[in-house]
Amino acid sequence: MIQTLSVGGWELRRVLATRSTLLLAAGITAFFMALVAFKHQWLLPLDDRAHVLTVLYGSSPLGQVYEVVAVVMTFFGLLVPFLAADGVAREHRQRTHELVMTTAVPAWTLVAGRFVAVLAQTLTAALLALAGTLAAQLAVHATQPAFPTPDVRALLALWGLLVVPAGVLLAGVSFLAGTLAPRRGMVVKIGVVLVWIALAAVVDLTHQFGWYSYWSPAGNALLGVAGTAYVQAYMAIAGTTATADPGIALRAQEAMLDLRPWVLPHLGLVAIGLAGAAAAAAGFRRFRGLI
Amino acid sequence: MALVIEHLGRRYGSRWAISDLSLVCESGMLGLVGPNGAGKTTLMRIIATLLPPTTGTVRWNGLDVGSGGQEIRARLGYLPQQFGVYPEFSARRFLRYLAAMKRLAWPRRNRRVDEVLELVNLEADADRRLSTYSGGMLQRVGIAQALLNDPDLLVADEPTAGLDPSERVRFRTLLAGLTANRLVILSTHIVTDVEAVAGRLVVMRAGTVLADTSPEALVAAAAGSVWALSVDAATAARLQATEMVSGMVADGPRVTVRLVTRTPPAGAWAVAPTLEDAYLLTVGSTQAAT
Repeated sequence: MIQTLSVGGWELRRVLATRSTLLLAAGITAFFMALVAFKHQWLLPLDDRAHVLTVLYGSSPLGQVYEVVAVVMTFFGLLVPFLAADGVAREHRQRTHELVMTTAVPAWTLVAGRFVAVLAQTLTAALLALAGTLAAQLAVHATQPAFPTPDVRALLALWGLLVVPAGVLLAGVSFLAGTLAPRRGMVVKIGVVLVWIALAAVVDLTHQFGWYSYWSPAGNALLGVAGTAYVQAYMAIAGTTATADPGIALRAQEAMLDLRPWVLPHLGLVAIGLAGAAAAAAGFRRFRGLI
Repeated sequence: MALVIEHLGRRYGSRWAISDLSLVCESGMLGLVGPNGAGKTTLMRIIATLLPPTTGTVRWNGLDVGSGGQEIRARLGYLPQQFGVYPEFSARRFLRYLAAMKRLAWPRRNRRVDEVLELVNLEADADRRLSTYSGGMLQRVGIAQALLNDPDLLVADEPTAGLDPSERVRFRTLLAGLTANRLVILSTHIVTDVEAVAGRLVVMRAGTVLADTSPEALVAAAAGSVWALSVDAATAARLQATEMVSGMVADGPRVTVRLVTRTPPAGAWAVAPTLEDAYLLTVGSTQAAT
């Protein structure tokens, strides 16, 4: 274990010693800030009065579900394969593979240590994305007072439930594929990105598989749940009112969704990601990529 | 302390890079020479536990490179033919990293890094980023990392390739000083590197051992097979195409050609062979036989 952490620690030192790392960190924060600042509200129709559009504010507890799932998750998923796929494969590109592979550290320790570093980078990127999101929501609130102050608790809950598990899953899968096919790094990254785009924005499997609502790594089903919860809350407050009322809209989106049904499935996603890393360690061969 | 290689074979697809190779090596320096594609790098990689053999066995002090790889790596120093570094690290930090991977305990690790930096004469530049190092300096970092764990078995694959003459001499001297109580295997296609430092010479070609002898014995065996001949330029060109020519020196309209052959042409006079001549004779005569 200590050896694994030592390998991970040294890899992180290497990452931190890279001049572009700070730039990348700033870039990730700024990117998510810009993304959230650009898309921070949604117009949702009321169920039986479709012509009545109400505003869902991205910084409200319900609006944050939209913000995290529809905006942040999609782009965060595109970033992770590029952080994770090269965890071990980078050695081939840098031609340090033979030096490292002839040291006394066991192969599985080396791979596990590299995954620790990959995980740390992924979680750091998630934190930076969180910081960017929060900063953008604060900025929107400051410039447009109609937008509520961001609900940090709700945002953190969504982060823990959605962004972190998706990050671990994508990191594990990318790391596994990158480790087993070290000379196909770009193919691996593009492949994982395409699958993620399909799952997050193109294919909705919830119609075919009911359980997928809870297991979707991109959390898409939450959009429908949050939208329905919002409209129902709005109708309950508005009664027969047929016009969009910003005050009612704001009150209707104050309640946070009950996220408990998603907890276990998303812990399952974390487990799958970690199993991917374990498979990478088990399937790793010192000579892979040399032959 | 012994490296025992028995009936070793390594196949890539349908091509055998090494076939039925057997060697026993004890402490000292072993020079391994051969033309490109002779199987030297494959042999080095198998000894360094990087490649599994297809057939046969390689044992270091009784430990098989397959099943006992972990223990062998703990006592191994390996300098690959081509290697990279982490350009963002300084030499000191890079060596500390590899020392950690070699499981050297702290604080001995840092002391050892300082020792090897001094050994390869890099203390003054140890804290500079590796991205600013010259090829020769990087090669010295390479040998430094191979020495970190004070290995019993040191494997250096083409270590002098790309070095300027003074760096090569410095490197050879450094290697020669390391042979006490360890086996150093120096693979190269630069024959003079071996001549200067190795007590034993193995010539490889097409995955097999052609000669396993000392440099002096190889040179002695070539006595009477190296000739000089003064000819005109056209004849020199013809000889170059048909005979094994190890040197040509232009002298006005005439050219003095150095020939490696057991059947001298008329007018040729015998000269003392060098190790390079002996190597050409060994490799070339087998080429003719095959």
